[in-house]
Amino acid sequence: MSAGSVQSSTNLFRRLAWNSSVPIEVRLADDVAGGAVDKYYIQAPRYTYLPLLLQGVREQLVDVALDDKALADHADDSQWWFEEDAGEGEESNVKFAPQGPCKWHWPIDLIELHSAIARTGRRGAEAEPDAAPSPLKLILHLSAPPADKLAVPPGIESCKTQFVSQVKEADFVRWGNTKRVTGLRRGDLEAGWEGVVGNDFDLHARMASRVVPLPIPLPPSTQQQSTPSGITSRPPSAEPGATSSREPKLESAYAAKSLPIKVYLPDGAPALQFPVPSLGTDGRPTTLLSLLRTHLPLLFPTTSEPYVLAQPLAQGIILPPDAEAAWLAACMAGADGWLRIGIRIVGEA
Amino acid sequence: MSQLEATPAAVPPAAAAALESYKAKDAAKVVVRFKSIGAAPIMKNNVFKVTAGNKFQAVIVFLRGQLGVKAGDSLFTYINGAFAPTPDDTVGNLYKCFGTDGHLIVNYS
Repeated sequence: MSAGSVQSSTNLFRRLAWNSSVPIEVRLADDVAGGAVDKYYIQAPRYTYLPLLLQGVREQLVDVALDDKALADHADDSQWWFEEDAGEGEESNVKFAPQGPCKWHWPIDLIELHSAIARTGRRGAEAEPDAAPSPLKLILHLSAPPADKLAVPPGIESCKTQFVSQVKEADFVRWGNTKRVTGLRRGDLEAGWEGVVGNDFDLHARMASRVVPLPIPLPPSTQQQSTPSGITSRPPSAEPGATSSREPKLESAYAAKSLPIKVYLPDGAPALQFPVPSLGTDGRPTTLLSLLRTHLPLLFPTTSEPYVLAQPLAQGIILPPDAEAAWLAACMAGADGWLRIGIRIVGEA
Repeated sequence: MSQLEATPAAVPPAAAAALESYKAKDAAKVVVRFKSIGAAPIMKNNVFKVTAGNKFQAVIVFLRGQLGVKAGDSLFTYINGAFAPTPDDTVGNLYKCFGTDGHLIVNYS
């Protein structure tokens, strides 16, 4: 496949991931004296963050539900915080400890992922996904934020700082330095966050397309003549693209030292982060299943069926076992360039 | 739908045992080397052993204590002088991914 066609197919998948969203139901905590309005529903993009939803929650829920005195008491939204309402009873199917307070610096995707992996999945669910996902239920508290559990202070600015730090860390994971991020024009770096704030894929892509490499197959030596622009003097990794005058360099995700991937487990087990080489020692691309079998052998035993005990989720879907890690990292990463995989236990009927 | 689907699916014992094993806190020690940047004070003893299962947040709190940083004052921390990790990363994960010569280098300013 030529670099040009890889670029267009990658953009298609990046746009699909960008357009995926989570239905959210927000209700006020029981200790808040509310009126008739007690719930607010949002269809939120997976890449966005709670601080960016706060204004809507204030206008549509808090301002409407609270009387003037209560509003005055709770006007300071630096005291507000969200908690997952994991629900009770068999209907909710919650099997593991809920995540509790929702972290300000986690994208909605990661909060939803923790909600999903606290439940068990159906065996074979990859073949027939759930028709209608139930909303992510959040409780809004208006006082006494548990600062130690939230980890990062509230507010959009501190969320943005964490976002940029994560973009840099992902760059460091890929190449062993942060030159691609620190070398960005200021406007392009800002566009990464502004695209998230403004729900603008193309704006965000001004940063992402320069930082997140494309899954261009290696080795490059045989592909030089097949590139669309016909330039043969440069390897594909240095070749300009064809769609704009100031194109980023096209680098291959398969050439990266390692891939920015985090793996989340249920029940409060610590998240995993480890070096994930794009290519194995045999020179073949690392597949998701080989990665899971290497790092989580107890949950992914070597059996003929890949997902016997657990199934990997990202961006709301079960990932196929033979998907290449480099492709997933290039096409299904969050807005900050990290691929977040949740491990959901497969329930016994 | 069928009755089977209405029955909540239990966690299989093998999966529960696997999770218990992964939940065990990593008690291994990581050697953390602190390095000051710019005008930040230099530490007399700048090498410490930190439990791998600890969150990076614990390292920040420890460093603030060592340097005597006041509650309202800022302290910035970087790995390998390149990026700031999130406070909820574990020290063990950071060492696995970014350790150099048996150390995790944490710069501060």
